[in-house]
Amino acid sequence: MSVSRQEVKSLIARSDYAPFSWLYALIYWLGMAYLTYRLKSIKAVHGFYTTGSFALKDLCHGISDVDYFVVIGIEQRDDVVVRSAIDLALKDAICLFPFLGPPSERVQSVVVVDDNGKFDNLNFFYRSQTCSFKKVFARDNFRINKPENVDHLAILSELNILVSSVIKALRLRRDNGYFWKSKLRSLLVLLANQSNPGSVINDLELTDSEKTVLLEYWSKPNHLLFQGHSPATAARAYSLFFKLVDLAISRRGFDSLDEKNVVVNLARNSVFIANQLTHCAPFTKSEYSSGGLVLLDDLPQEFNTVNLDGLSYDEAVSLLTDTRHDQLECVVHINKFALRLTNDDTGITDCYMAPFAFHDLSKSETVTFKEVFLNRLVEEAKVALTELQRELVTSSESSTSTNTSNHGTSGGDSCKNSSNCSLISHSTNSGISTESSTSRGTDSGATDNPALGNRRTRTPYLLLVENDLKMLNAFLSGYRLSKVSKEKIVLFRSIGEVFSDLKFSYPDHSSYLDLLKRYYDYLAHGAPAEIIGMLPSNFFGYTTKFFCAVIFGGQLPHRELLRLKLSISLCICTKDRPTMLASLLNSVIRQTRAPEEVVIIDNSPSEETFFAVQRFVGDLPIKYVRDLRPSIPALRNRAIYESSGQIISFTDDDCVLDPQYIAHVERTFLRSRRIGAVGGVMKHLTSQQFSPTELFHSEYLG
Amino acid sequence: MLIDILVKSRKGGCLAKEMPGSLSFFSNNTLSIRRSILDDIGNYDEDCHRSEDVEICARIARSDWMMFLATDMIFQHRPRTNLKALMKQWWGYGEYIPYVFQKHNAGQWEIFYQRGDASTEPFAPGLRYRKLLYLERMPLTVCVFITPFLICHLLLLASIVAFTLGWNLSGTIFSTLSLLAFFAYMQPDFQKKTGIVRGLQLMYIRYLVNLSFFVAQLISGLRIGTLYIAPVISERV
Repeated sequence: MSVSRQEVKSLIARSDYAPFSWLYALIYWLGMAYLTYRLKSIKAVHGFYTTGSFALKDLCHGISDVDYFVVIGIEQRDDVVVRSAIDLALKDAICLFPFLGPPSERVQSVVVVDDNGKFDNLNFFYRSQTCSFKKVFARDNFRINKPENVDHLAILSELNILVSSVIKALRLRRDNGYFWKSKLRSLLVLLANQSNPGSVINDLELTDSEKTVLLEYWSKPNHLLFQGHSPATAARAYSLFFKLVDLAISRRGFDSLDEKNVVVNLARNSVFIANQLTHCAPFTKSEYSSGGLVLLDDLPQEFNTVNLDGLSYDEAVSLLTDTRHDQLECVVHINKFALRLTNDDTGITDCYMAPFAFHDLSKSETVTFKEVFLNRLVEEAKVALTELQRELVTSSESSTSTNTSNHGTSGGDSCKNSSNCSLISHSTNSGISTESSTSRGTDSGATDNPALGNRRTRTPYLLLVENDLKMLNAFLSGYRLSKVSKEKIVLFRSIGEVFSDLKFSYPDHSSYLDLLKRYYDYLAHGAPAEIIGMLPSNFFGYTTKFFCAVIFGGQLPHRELLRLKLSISLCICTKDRPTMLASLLNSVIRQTRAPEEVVIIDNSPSEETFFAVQRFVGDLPIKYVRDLRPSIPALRNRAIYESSGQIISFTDDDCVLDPQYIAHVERTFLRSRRIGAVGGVMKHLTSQQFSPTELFHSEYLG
Repeated sequence: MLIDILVKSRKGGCLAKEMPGSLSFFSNNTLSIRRSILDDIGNYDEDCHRSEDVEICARIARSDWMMFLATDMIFQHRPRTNLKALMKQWWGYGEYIPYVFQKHNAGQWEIFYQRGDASTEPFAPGLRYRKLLYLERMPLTVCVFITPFLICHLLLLASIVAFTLGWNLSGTIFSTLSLLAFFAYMQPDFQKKTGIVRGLQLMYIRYLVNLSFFVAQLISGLRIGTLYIAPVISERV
């Protein structure tokens, strides 16, 4: 039997491979103990919880058995020291994990839990190296020391995470032993709250054959569980898994939890619910618009439109999974909950994603949520709120208030009057509202708000998305959701389909949508770059407004917005560098969007610069000023004085601008009215023979 | 610290309003300002002859306006070609950084030590430093980043003092430690792809640039009652 080198490698990497198993077990155990030690030494951390093999005290397969760590009860979330300590502890522990298990098995593994902020860094940095991360928010009263204190909410949400990870893994065809073994273990721990699954199996209400299967999973080494990767065995594990989930639900009494009816366009405004449920949030609706969205992500290719009327969640899932059961990839993924925060025209801050698989889409408009779901919503809204408030605190004390006066019992109408915030603020009110059965109607929420608004006089500033692709993706998924909010669910197979549907719905905007599609393709796939030059200046702002109107049902923006322009003065201060200045001015001539004026403040005693500038007078709207004061800031103030554009763009004589530079200046300022200053990215020009100083620049200064 | 913020530039987006002990800023090469905000924040400070961009951006960062870094806005910059010009440039930057800090944070005492680098905190330079001390309303103004560069020189100083006083054992220990700190400081210069010669060149240049920035900060800072010691270049792009 010939075994390839690769196979040998992956075999050795397995923690259950006999000669090395004890070594991996040791490393893993040390890693976990180290993490435990590190986290315990941080005072602000109340406790944490691990599932998987560590909780079982039985090492079957390194890291992929670790489902998650929960870091909870961080009292001072704003404390940088605490946060970075936790961060470092987690990172240090994770650094140990690459030793554990072959990378192909680690795809789905670690969940690092943190309240906010750090997650993105971690995710960005480690995603390629070790494993994927999920964010779970901090929970109170949840300690590993006292398992009896673990509450229903916590367990249900863990269950939920498990289920959604299974669903996701099925899409990835994770029909292998490691995965199922670890998931079933985790589930059993969850179910029985015991560390020894062997004894639990006997107590379960399973048929004998199922018990045999389950025991078989335990006795066999992982890599023998699904030898040959037969879909049938994976399907068996799948059904067993969901049977255990059902069992867990009934045993834990999740059925008996309170239910609440929520009239829904799908949970669009979760923070608003949070307000009404908790009375705690100083969060006024005209200031923020936020959406708790149920995402239909990663849809199977086979389905075009599926009508899920009258189906329960389980039925929907089984409908979608059973149709092509042999492939195990047709799973609808209604288990993500995203909280989005948007501001008037700045776009979207951040997406707080958390899997949640327990909503019931059985009725067309009234969706019945368990108490747990609403609590979860509240929890996440609180986290989002904390983050926002922290940003508010860091923002200036003296900022002016513009939006606070807009809300009231008819917030939508009053917001329409204020020209700038109309779109999203209006949409806030068309969002979710609780029924009277929840005992707190919209009225109480609305009457609370003015007082809160008076207390908070500062306007929020929200950050922009990091790049346009993220923003566009968010909008497109938002558009999908707005389709979901009708009585049936429309499934789009691809982004192209979303675009064609958009064009069908808004034929007047087809040319704009074509452009948008091309831009999207450019961002997503790196298509030919000439599209950038074709984009109108206010493309970003227009796109934002367009999608907000489409998704939240407002008025589409005027087409004139696309042609919005700013006047730009390019200001150059120079001293005795005529040749460099000439090459800069040459690059200014090549700009795709010419500046309205070029102000040159000449500080050189000689006349050479003047003559160099003279050659460009015909091509550029040059304003030449001679100023011999020996102070750079004075020269710059002079440039400000001499220029007349709305935007003053400084550059130096030793720079050369890219052809798109001025166009991007304008485009960036048009993103938001709140942007006061814009900067770009420097690339260093080098001569051919790398001198040491140039090497230094290229290595250290970009 | 300055360069750490430039390093952030690869991600784009809004700059943080403030980072511990440091400044979010755009270089004058590329700074574009909305004219209407000048009513709010004022013009350039004419007393701040160098690093005036840092100063005006400090005011913008403290105002309600956002600073947006557009990664699409690309420009090319011609670097200084000889070492003397480079050192002069960084001397000029260093000269007025303490002034800017003192202007906006008078009476603050801040001490940080380096806890991570670009590999641990790729996009949040502020988090690479951990706060050791923070006091307000104090006499004078202090901002110190404890980095290998600083430690190395302090140890060197200590060993010189020890040798002068005739404490040979402690002098040897100090000089050994300072050599170790020096290696820690120089470590970024010798990465996988750089050859030995290039590494030595880089080491030489970076040391001199850091030194001129450091000395300029120290001298001009002490003149205005401010102790400001920040690293300039700590990692490669």
